Amino acid sequence: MYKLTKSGIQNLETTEFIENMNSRQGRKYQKWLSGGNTPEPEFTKVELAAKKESDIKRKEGELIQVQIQFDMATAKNFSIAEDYGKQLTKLELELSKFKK
Amino acid sequence: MHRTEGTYHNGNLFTDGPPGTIVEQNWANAMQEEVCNVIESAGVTLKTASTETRDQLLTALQALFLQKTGAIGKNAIINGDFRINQRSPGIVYTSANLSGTATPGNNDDVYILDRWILLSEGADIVDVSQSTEAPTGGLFSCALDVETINKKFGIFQPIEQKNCMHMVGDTVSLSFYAKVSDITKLDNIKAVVLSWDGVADTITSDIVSAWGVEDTTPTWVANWTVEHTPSNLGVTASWVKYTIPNISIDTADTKNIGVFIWSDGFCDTLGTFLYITGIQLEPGVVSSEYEWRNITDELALCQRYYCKSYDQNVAPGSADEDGECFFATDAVALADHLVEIPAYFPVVMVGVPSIVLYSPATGLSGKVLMAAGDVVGVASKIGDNKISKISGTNGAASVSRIMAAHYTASIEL
Repeated sequence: MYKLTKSGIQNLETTEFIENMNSRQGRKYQKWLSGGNTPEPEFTKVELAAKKESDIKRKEGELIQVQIQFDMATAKNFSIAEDYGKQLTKLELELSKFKK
Repeated sequence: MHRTEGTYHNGNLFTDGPPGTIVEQNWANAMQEEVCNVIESAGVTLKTASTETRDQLLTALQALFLQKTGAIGKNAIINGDFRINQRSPGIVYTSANLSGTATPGNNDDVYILDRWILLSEGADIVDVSQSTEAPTGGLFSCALDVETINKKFGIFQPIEQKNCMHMVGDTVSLSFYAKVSDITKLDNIKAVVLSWDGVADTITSDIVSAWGVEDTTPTWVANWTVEHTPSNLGVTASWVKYTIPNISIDTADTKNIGVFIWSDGFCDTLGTFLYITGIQLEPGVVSSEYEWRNITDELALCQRYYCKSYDQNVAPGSADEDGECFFATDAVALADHLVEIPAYFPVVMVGVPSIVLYSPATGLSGKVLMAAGDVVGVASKIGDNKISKISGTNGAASVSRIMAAHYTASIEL
């Protein structure tokens, strides 16, 4: 009935995001929890795999975007090219982490 | 104030010295009646010579014109005339949406019209709607339409501590308008003011422990105490204002106050209606005229507990773009992407609310609209004034970045 999220829980029946455990909804969740129930994890194995794939694709998209800006800045000899270069390095590092 | 035994009359009071000003009997009687009229028109019963307190004119003036020091508007009830219905504009709260998320069903202990909780002896006991049946000068009432026979039902409003502490330890008066569609079917309507002595604003909203047999006042859950003995008000088929004056809020450690109006008798006929409106709880020993708030103020008071990005006349869960939270940019790299946008509430809420997201394209809950269509939406970093992040990941490469979402935010007591 509930699943964990990054910053709280979600009621799977109503799709409601609950961060405030003192609220009416939060108290209902705590009552449910004290009944011996356990919330679902934020991501199932299937969802984790899909998330990884999605994160990689998204990071690749960002990389392309920054690459375009880097190429343009370099061609016009703009000083900002150096910043784009740093961003590229950072993104490539993040991408390699995602792919591990 | 009390009246003299009869009218004043002339006497021989000024026999020595220069004659004094003559106090005419007509003048004295006029003075007496001017004062008595003010007192009686405020609903205060005149004292007798033996019970005289000499404070009734002040009481009457307070009831008629003044607000007690510290009062936040004289009426502590919000949406007492049911003009605000954000959850379900134009839609009846029925069993058809018992498991729905956007429009609440007519379950026991659910919020219906803004700030009001339906309490009933089970689910689907009454349908609830914002009715245009109203007393002269009013617009709406809360209509409770019997769906299951021989069960009790009613509406309850708990008042936030910050909005009721000025009445604790003092005297209040409750008033409201009501009528029924058939007095032989709904013949025992009661109302009560209760005090909560548990943790402030962390109330048990289902105040009924046991509904009891017909015509017997229910028993209440722990920490709620009735402040007077409720009785059959004799509600008729015409609009009448009912008043329960001079209620002492004297339960020790009261943190919150609540008002409950219910049918204590059983109704054996489906489709019988109870209409209620103009509910007012105010400081003082008598009830005064209903406080007709500006609609902007009334809506803002409701939004402290529940708000939405949809237009006021659009039910949450509708496929409707007006008022949506929106972001778009174009001509960027072809890629999967994440979009995160904030959404601000119209007023600062009483606490951090729970959030439901809706796709403006389909009205589906838990979804937001992105370039590829509806995707799972996530609300995070929620504060009492905004949702910092409404997030969605577009899992298909696109050269545009789009995010559209509606929300409802709820932090009812």
